[in-house]
Amino acid sequence: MVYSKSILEQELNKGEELQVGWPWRMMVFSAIVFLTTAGIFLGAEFGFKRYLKSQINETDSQIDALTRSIPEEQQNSFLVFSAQANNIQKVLNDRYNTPQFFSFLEKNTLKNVFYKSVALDTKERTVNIDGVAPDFNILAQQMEIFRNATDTIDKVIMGRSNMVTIKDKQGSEILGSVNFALTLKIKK
Amino acid sequence: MLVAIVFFIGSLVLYVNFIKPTYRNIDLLRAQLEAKRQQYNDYKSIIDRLRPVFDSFQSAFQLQESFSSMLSTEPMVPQAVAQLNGLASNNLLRISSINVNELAVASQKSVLLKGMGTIDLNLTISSNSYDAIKSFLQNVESNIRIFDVKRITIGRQENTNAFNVNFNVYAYYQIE
Repeated sequence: MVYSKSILEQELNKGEELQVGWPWRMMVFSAIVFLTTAGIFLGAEFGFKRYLKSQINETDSQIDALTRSIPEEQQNSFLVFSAQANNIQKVLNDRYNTPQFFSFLEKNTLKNVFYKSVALDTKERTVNIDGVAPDFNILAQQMEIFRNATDTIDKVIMGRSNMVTIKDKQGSEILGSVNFALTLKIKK
Repeated sequence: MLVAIVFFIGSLVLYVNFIKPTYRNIDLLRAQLEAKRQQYNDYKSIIDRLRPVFDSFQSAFQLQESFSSMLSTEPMVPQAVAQLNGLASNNLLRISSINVNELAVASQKSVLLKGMGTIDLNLTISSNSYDAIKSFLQNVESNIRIFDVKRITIGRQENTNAFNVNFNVYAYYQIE
């Protein structure tokens, strides 16, 4: 005789199935989460990380190969060559044209003014002149010539200047010439 | 139920203690890789642009020689002295003294900006001819090896017409 469950029995059994099924499903779900997490870790640690490291090593060796493609000796001689070019240009640009300055001095000196010594310092861009002029008036004219030569001279500074007295045949003192010292600041 | 909780806690422990540090490492490695790739691309573009320059540089022997004559790669003090003496002789001048002083080399700013060494040559010349002195100065300035007249003092000798000239001439050399 086939025993068939009544509707009441069936409804009562449902509650028991639920109580037994939930923990089981939770366990399966947690296990899946755990295994997924473990899988992600293993994939990241032993897969992606190793891949990245191998890519870094590969790029390093590519950089090495690239730098070796031009021999070191050739690189050095090229660096020296380009440094020579730069330095030559720098020296030639910075170098002061001394012969030109002496030509300037010749052209811009009054006929009755004489120089005992001229000291040109191209590093400091100064010229120290010790000279002789017939009188203070001529000296002032000479200074004015330098002051007006604005293409070459930046500043004229007058140093010690004094009238030298000489004695005539009778032994009395007469005025002689003016010894002067000038400093010229020259333009770059 | 207990096993589910153990799995769940295990997942959390795995995440916090293993996955997070691994991801931090991965981020660093990715940044490192990106930097290396950028470096490779930069090098490649520089080398691609420089290669024609290198090729033409290899064949520009004459230019290299000219540069080395103007700015030698060694101090070559005897050569500088001989050249100045030769220029003086050409202008019928006689050098009465030479004093050589090698100046300290300024520190290099970078590997690519190689500096220069400087030799300070102090010469004393006596001459009756101002034109000869001027011509000597002109020859010094146009010499193939670069000379740079830094100081020059011209003065008359007492009771004679002769000039006493003192020069400070810089000769340079390229530091390799």
